[in-house]
Amino acid sequence: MEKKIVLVTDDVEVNRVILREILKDEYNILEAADGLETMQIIHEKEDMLSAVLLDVIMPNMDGFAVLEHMGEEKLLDRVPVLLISADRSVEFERDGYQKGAFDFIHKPFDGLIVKVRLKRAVELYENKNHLNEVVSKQTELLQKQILQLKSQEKQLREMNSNIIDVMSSVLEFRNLESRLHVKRIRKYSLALAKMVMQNDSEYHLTPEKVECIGEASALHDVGKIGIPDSVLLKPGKLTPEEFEIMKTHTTKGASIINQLEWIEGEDIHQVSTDICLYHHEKYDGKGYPMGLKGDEIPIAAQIVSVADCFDALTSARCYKEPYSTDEAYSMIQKGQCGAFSPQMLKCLTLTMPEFKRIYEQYVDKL
Amino acid sequence: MLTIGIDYNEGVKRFSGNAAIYEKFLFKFLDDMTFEELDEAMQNHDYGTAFFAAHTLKGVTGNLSMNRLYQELVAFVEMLRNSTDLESAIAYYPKIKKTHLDLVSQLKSM
Repeated sequence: MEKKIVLVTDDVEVNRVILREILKDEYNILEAADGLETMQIIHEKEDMLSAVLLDVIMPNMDGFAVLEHMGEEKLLDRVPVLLISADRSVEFERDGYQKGAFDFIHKPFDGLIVKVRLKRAVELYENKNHLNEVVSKQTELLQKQILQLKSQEKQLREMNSNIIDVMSSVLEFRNLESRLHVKRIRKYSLALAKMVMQNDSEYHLTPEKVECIGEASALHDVGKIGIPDSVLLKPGKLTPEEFEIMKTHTTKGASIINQLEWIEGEDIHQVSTDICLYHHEKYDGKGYPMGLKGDEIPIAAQIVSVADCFDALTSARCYKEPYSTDEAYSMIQKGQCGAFSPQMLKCLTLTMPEFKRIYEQYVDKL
Repeated sequence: MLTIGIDYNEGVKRFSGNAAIYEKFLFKFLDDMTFEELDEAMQNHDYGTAFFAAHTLKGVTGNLSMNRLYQELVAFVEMLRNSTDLESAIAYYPKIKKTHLDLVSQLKSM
């Protein structure tokens, strides 16, 4: 193994020579005779130095000044400095430690003490530097992995988004929904979900879940694909039998979602299912298909249900003119579209300015 | 060598057993100007400079095992440190000067 390099500084030659004689078998010795020369060698050999034996009283910058410079340049974290002095006072050693010296060597030198102190300093710093290197390598690796995971997560999210887009364009293709309707439902649901997150901590909504509800809301009527045109596109009132068939768009939607096993991520899968299945449930239990009551209805479905009603009321149908946003608001508040929870109604009130903006921006142009 | 206040064996040991180098530096001590610096500073009452010169000499004499001069310098440096006891330092100085002179003249005659 190659010898380690140690810098010995002292303005008096005999002191350097003695240290060289003591250490030359185990180390390659560099020498400096004053403070400036010391700094110069430290800068040149920085990465190769295993230790510095530093005389305190030297011309052109003394040992303490060299220590301070090394401290400012963060070199003391990597290279141990042993101060050389004929002085054994407590005050001197305190000064030395405070300025970052690792240990001390006293004149007159004792060969064994010099060797042992230097060896311990070198070994300790080697271990320390090695550990730092290991830790920083691992940190680097972890950061790379985090970036990779983040990019995979982003890809998955984009994939889910694509699936949702494809599904909703199928509906559009069959003229069951307009593109703007899907867009509005997304915007209304997202806005309302944000409001619920801010006002009702009991539902434990997170920004991620809110995003998820917004996206999944586009799928609420996906089950309509499975309803025969004779029922779905019938211009007049549905018979009770036809209405029973119509109601199955909720369960059909859920089973379509459940076949999309390849949608990664628990949240989007669960939320989409909840929305398809329960967006016609009502707070008083009078909805369908299960007749769930109150908060038995998943929060995502409650949110999309409000958005869906609001959009139905403010849109034209072959049998009705559109209501204004204010009319729609008061009809929902009065329970004319079925019962909603008090929290939902409060959040709708708070979200109305945003609903109006969304309506203005995405209203069907006739 | 003990007679002139030098512990020769201890000195050789400090130079890792290399007697030739030790002796070389013993005689090189004759060319060292630090004592002249000290002497001049004492004459000029410049006790700050005197302290640093004495401190350097203390290190060198200790390392060369010039023990008599070294022991005297240890005491002398403490008197001069932060000008703690200048009166004693001034009174003590001739003794150091004599020890140094003896040492130098004996070294020269060897």
